[in-house]
Amino acid sequence: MSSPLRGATAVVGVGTSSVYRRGGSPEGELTLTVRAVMAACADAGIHPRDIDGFTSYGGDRNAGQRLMGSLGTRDLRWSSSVWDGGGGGLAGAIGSAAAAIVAGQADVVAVVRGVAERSGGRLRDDVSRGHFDLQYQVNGVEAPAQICALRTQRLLHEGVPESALYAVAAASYHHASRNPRAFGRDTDLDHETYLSSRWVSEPLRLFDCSRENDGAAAIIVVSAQQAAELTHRPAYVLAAQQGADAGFGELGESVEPYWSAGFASVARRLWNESGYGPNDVDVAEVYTNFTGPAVAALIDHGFCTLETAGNFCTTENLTAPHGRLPINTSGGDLAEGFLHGALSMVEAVRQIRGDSYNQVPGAGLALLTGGPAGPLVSSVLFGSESTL
Amino acid sequence: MLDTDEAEHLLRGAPDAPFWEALAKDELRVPRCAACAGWVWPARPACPTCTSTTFDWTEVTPEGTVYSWTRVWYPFVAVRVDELPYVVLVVELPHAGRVRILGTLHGDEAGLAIGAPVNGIVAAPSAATYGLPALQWLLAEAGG
Repeated sequence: MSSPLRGATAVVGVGTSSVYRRGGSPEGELTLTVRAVMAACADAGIHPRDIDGFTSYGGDRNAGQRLMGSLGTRDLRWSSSVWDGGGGGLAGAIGSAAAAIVAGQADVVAVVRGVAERSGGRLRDDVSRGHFDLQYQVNGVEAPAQICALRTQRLLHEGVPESALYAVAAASYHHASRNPRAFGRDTDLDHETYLSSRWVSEPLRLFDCSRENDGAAAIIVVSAQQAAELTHRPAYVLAAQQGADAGFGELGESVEPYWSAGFASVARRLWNESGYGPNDVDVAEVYTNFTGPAVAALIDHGFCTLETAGNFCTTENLTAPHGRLPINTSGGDLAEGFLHGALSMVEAVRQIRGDSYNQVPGAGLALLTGGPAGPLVSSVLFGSESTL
Repeated sequence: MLDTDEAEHLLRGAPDAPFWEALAKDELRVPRCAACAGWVWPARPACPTCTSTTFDWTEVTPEGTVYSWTRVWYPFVAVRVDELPYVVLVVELPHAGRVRILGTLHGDEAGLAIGAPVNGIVAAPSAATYGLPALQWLLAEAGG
């Protein structure tokens, strides 16, 4: 409870560019990112020139120094990306923004992620470039889906039923059906539709997999004091943790436990820093590149165990407004759209503000996770004022 | 996408270069820390247990058990489109401290399951392996 970071910063603005099917954006990722930042500034009630810091993750190319010319930045003080190509740095980028503000290195930090095929090629290739060494490439493994499939196969072997994977997908698509911006809003994902969808890499089917989209998202982080002046509903950063447990942290198949999404140490630190635990969380935006790692992330964070995952991960439990732990309430990476997880940071803040399309009544604590099964992972716990 | 020249370039200087050189001689070799004797895989510049940077690349009998597997249906890999679907295994090596190594399944798929015993062979370099020799696995009790 003594962390200098706890509650010291808050999100005051969220924004997105237009979001397109993959390859569909007429604009490149830099332009999309500028638009997202401007939208987040309008939401926050600040001028873009007031931003003095930028953070990102996932090898994003839209660095602060590239954005500043369009935003009128007067003095760029903080431009920092979480290492590695995966979505594991998603929440870490928010932690990096909070850390910069707490340390006095910046006052107004935009957390950004912009992706467009016209700029970076297919996202799955863009984020894996240089990360799959010869041990993978020679053996026909070049995509995150394949590694997540291997981990998921073992997760099922350890006793987690396939129904848990379906529940993640079903809850995501149900939430998408109520979100007019969700790309998967018209898919009624009943169990038969799910089971009859084509294999991608066993045991993952089509509906176990995230989309790829073009677009950008941004959030604005400021000190708690400044947040109180800007908005009556800040989403406070109660805890932000990134990293990797011993034995994780590189791409290899000898990690233990193999089924895990790699969050054990991050989750432990997150609960310690926040003073809260999994039973306190109202809603979770769980990075879902694939359903299996999302279930593993829920286990890693202590929401359930290998033994109880089947009972916990049901469509009813994972669905807003009244499930035990509604997840991916915008539709998430599976069904809203996939900007390498960045739309989920926007949704987590919306839940704290009370304006989600699938609002959890009175949501006070919202978890955001980044990057299951990547070499580095991260989590953030957002809270309303009453949770400070 | 990788090509054979780039694969050859990547190999040089990589921590696992001796692995590929051994495969070319039809041997499976896994690094073992020269100081603490721990098996280290994937190969890396230093031992995570004792930080020694000296390794004995030890020949290991290519026998193992299936730790996990996936049958790949989507054309993620351009040079393997004609092979779809193919099976990728994570194989646990009992003769090398139970480290786990990747390889594709060769031959009969009957009996494919976690825990199934497998025997390794070295497949000749091909376009599908970017010109490098590759460890492939056969189910020891295929059809059983």
